Amino acid sequence: MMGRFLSLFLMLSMSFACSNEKSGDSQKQDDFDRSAMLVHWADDYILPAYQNYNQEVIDLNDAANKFSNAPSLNLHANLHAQFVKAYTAWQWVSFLEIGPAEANSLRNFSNIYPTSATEIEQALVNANYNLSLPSTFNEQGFPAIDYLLSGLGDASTTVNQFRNNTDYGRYLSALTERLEAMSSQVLNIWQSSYRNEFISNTGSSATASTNKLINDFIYHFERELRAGKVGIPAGVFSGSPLAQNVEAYYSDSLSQTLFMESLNAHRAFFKGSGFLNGAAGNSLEQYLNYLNIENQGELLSAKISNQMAAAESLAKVLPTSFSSVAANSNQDLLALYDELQKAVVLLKVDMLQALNVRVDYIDADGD
Amino acid sequence: MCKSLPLLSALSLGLLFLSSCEKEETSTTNPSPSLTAPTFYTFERNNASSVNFSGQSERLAMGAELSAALLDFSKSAQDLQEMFANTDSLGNEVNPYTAAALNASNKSIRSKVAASYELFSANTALSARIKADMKSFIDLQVAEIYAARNVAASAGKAGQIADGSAVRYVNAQGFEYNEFLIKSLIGALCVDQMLNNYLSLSVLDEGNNREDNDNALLLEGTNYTNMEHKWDEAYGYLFGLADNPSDPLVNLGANDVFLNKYLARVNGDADFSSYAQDIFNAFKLGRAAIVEGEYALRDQQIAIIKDRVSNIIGIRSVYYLQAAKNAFAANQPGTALHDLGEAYGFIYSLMFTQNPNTQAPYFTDQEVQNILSDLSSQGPNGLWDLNAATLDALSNQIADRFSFSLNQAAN
Repeated sequence: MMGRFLSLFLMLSMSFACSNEKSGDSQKQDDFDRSAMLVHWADDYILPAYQNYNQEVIDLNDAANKFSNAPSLNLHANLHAQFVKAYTAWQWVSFLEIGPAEANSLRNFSNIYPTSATEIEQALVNANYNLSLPSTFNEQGFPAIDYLLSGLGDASTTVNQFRNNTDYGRYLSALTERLEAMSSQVLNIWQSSYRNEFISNTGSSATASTNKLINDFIYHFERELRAGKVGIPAGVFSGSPLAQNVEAYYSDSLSQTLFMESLNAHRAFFKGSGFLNGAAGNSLEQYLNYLNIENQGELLSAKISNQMAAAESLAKVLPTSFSSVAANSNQDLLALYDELQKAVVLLKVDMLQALNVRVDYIDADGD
Repeated sequence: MCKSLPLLSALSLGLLFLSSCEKEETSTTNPSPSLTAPTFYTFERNNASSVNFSGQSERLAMGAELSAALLDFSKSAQDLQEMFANTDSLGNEVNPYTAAALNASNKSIRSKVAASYELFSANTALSARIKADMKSFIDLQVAEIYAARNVAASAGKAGQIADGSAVRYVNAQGFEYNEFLIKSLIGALCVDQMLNNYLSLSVLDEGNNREDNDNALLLEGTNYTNMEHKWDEAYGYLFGLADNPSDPLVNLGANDVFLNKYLARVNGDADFSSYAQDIFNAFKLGRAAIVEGEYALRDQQIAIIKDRVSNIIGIRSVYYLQAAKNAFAANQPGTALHDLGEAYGFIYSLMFTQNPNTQAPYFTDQEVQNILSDLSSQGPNGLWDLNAATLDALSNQIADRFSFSLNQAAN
């Protein structure tokens, strides 16, 4: 009997709390121009970001072929510099796992880490690898190239290894060639057909472009930025730090840079900054402001921006190698994770509720 | 729309509270008010533990090794069959496991498959067919999957396929035999032994068990009565691999790929978030009741365990069918096939459930075979040919038999 009264009370108080929680009468009806937002996303962010990435992997493949053909310290330095540029450009397209990128598992084939040194060594000796198989996710892409460039030893050791055994050069070129082929394919499909499909799928169903890309964006923020780059190496999911699981582990001092690039990409996309000139267009930020969504007396869009800025201010003062942070001052990575998690809640719970978008992914089964 | 959603969920939450309150009132009435569930599953006599389920822990550990070995392409079918049986085909002793303790054990998974007193003591034909099904999943894993491991799978073609960043290995019809086997064993081993054997009154109260238990007559060379031990063995099939089996809800699901893992999954769904505590409490209170000779109280706990454990199998069957439907819609066939591999095993397991009201399985063997046939034979390419309407129809067919709704199970 008491139980029933209690639950009735809970029901009433919860529905009361719910009606309070919204911004009430001030929230407008949703007739935001989603179509204009899709056009802005496609033309001012997605296409130029893919074009930029594609050029960087073309240059990466050139640099890799030059090094493989005639390994030298000079060419190794050039190649590694281009590797950093391409890996940086990747951060801006990584979350766009929609359309041709989704159909071709672009992210899984480009950036699964930690990579497997053992499987790479086996594959390059056997020379009968099939890089289109999912079982080779951890033998290719940027993490595998990172191993070949920086995981064999210092630069002169690496050069000697490539001189003494041409299997390494052949495999390296196969990896960069595949990155280039996948990137070109995705860009071509966006240019030839998918852009129009994307901008004309304007509805608000689960398969509409807006709903899908917002989900891809939040998924990436949660799983790749928060978990992959920070939480997993910090040991949030395993109990103790896993320093070897950082992005670009072998280059060692690259993980902070890649994190910052990825965070900036998420911020730019949220604010609607164009990829090339930063000009703002219809964006998630404007969408939330248009609906006048508030959260605890403050604009939700401002809370999200402030939360991303809070994460940035922690990250930018960290050492450039997240693996050494995980090993030596892991509490700093945990603090960064906590700030990112606060942003995840604002995006995944508050923003999605305000925009009436359902989460289309669930916690992976892990088995 | 925005505003109605939270109100709706608050309402349904309120309803949930209401219904769960009602359940508690009816199902846990305590005829012996002085007796309450202890905090831990810890029972002692003469200053020593009277709890023992080492045989169950060993079989679950053997199952974990077998589960991993199914995707170790260096194994032969014979290697895997020996891990399943812990003998060779002639019944000779073998040492197929990595853990020395398991090689030293004389326990066997195979001997306890479809081997409960209630369902199989007078139906050895069905028991033999089920054992043969398990054996054939293993043989087909090697024959059809191992050979194709280095090619990409597609409709009508065996090979490997991506499920997110994971890799799955399927035959030409999309069958993931390792999933079929392990998930079917959740029913054929864990649920069958627990619900239809050790929690069966025919087993608990067999012979002089009640009298012996009342007189604290211990099994020779042990510290427990026969009835206490039967109860512990039921407990062991769910909690036998826990870090601390007397306090098993800490890290629930972490060490065990069988029933325990899916209790954790179901319990993680807000619609069923009392399941783990309900089952653990029922096991503790039932065991305490046995010590006190309070058999009516014991039997009430049996009903709770049978209901919740059976529901886990039903919920996960529906959950994976719906997950597969969503994955097909999102054009993620590898994810869909993996979900269907899990669904296949959980549906297979339905025939080992037991409805506490009717004392019968929620689905008969024949009904299960019909569902599995509908699932796998929609077209020449098997699971690849499934459509949303069929998956919804099968989901409803299963959910309708239980007290949960399709939507509760699906999220």
